[in-house]
Amino acid sequence: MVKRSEAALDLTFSALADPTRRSILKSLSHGEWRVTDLAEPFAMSLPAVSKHVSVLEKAGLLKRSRLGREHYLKLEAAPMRQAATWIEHYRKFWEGSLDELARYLESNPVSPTSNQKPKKGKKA
Amino acid sequence: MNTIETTQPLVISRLIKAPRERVFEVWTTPELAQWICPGERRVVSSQVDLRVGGAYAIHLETDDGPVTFGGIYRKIQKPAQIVFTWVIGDCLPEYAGHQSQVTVDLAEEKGGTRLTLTHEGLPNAELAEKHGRGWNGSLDNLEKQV
Repeated sequence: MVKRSEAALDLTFSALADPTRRSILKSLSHGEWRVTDLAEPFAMSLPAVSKHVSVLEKAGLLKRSRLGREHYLKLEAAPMRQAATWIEHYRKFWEGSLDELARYLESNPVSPTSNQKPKKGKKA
Repeated sequence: MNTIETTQPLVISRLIKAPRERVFEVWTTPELAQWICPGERRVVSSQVDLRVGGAYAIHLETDDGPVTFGGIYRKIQKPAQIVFTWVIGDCLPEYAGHQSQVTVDLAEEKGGTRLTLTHEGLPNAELAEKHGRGWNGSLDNLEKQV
């Protein structure tokens, strides 16, 4: 399960690691596009754009549907957004907690339990 | 077709200016309640049963009301690693009972202890939809990300 999610993560990040692909996703955030229209703003051949589209598709970030000869592309952002929201929620939580932990250890450097053995010397 | 079924793990790394044994201790004793919830809070109770399969539970009173944390220890490797489940309590009723997993790795480093926290298995899109939280409308979050 972990492996699977890491593989998916690798795909997502490598898909997002390219400025053209990020632009494609941004365009798609405004609605469905035909591959041919999508290629226009990029000074790029249709096959070149198609290659980027395939990478995004493999990462599950967009969905392709066919109508006759035309390919329509749609953003599949929900999983990514959902992930981002949770990650953000817990990041805030843990960052805050770890700040608190650092402060707590500064003012309580030694164990409060009296039956605790005296502090051992630092291991070399 | 590939879709992202689980969310990516959250990883946070910090250098804590304290010996590793002490950092391990504040994670694995009721002292946990003294720092784990940031902000103004009062500890109502805290229990720690430090053994694999044992539970920890912390009840706090915060400005936003009572908050409960808890879970089960899955791996204890003193003083290097603790793995425990994280169960969403009543603070997020729509996700209450959802389980994720936290791994805390502690390594000795110059100046203190390197703490690496990995939180994985957070609720995914499917779970969110099950709970009726659609993600329609704005794509602001995505735009921020890309």
